[in-house]
Amino acid sequence: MAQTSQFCTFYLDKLLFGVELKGVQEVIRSLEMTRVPLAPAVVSGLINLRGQIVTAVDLRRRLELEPRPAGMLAMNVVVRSTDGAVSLLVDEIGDVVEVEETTFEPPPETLRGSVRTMIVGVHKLNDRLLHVLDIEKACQMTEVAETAAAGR
Amino acid sequence: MTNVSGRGVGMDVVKTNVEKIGGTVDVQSALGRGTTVRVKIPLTLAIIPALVVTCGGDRYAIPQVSLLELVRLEADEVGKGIELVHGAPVYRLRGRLLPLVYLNRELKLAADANPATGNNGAVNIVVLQADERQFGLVVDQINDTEEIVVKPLRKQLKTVKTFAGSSIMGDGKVALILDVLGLAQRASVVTETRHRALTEKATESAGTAGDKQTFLLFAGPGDCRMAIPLSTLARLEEFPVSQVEMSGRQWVTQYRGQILPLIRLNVVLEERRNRLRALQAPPALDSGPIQVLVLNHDGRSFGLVVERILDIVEDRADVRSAATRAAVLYSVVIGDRVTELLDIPAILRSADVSAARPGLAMRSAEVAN
Repeated sequence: MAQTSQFCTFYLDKLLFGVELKGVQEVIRSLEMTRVPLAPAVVSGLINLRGQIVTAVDLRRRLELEPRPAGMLAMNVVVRSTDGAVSLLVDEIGDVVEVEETTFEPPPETLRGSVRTMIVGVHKLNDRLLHVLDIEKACQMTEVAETAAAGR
Repeated sequence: MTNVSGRGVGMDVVKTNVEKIGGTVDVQSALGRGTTVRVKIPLTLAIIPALVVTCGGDRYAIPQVSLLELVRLEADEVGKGIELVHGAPVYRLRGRLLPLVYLNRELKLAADANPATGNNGAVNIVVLQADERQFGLVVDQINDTEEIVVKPLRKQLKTVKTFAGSSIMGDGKVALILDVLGLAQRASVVTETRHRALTEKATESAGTAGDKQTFLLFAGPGDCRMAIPLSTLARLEEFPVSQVEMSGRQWVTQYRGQILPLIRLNVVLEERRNRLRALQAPPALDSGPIQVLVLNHDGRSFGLVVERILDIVEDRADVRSAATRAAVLYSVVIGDRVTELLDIPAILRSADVSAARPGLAMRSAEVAN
């Protein structure tokens, strides 16, 4: 039997993304956020997760997608990175899907830029593609700040 | 076991985590009477008193250690209270100009549509101390002082120098703790080279009313009163004469695994023609122990042999006159008496010693052995 892995999936701008289930701590509804002035733009703010202060990363910004429409509440996918818990803000939560290794394919060469470092590849599901996100890369901020500064 | 009974995991997690920070969990239970859970959490260093202010609708905590005072200017005082130095706002605080920093501008917060809301045009100034400089931080509102638990910022936000950490406030919301020095640097109140503070010090020591300096007072040859700034001093030592050895003409002693050159102040200050004779004089064995000031200069250490150590005093030392002899920087009034302030680099030059450098000292030690 082929090796399978489980992904926690979510939607961003109608695209289906997934992070490895092992790295996910919890999924929670929108929480009150404290903005951090002067921080990199991808940092939406800080949230109080039962007494733990967690940085919230706007995944839409991180993946260079369109900004979230006003009024749309984001969901928090709290993941465990090497630097502690980080909350990824997503539009909508999908299912937990189990996929086989054989459906995996690395991203096409035409996918460029900093997004390429975050998207490990895609799993070919029956009806759509599941973008596999690298948790560590998605949570790294320094690099983003640098690329953002370089782009300016 | 039922659907609602516990699995015995939760309290164990609590225990592990509380013990990790040095606390204890104690559970006492009596059937039918209830359970007492005692959690003892040690007070960590991470609890600090802080002033909570509001700016742009968000709360920020300012560590109380940097706080000097609070000033509130009512609307009618604002106009004449806050002046501009070529566009840079300042406030006259007891006759001195206090540079003003607007927190909302520094944090690039969207300016309040109507900044007068709730303030009636009044301005709240938090006077802060960053390094040597004072500045006034203008905030929308001053809330209260609170003891807050500091939680460090994650790596993602470490690059933001304006914040020292975060904390969870009483209502469960997160507030950021301002890093006063970082903020001052951002607002250019404190430049990294601390240029302004230095020049200010220089002008102060040049005669204006300034901060006090600390001096070490000692008696030089002929019982004259001399001083060095305490900051140049590493240690005070007393050596018996028997420990003084000669290395060529140089008095030296073995000190902490190094050869410490000893400079005799009486030789340095001797008239030139007599200096050679004095220089070559070996230590007189019958005299008592010698008093040595161990000094560090330019990363080298040497000992200065003086007659007697007198005192450590704090003084402005703002009355001074030019030096009357070499090796003296100037004469100055310290503790109401005229005192000669030594010029250490000049002494080193005239004594012409290669003061102990760690590497050099080791090599000469090998030779000595």
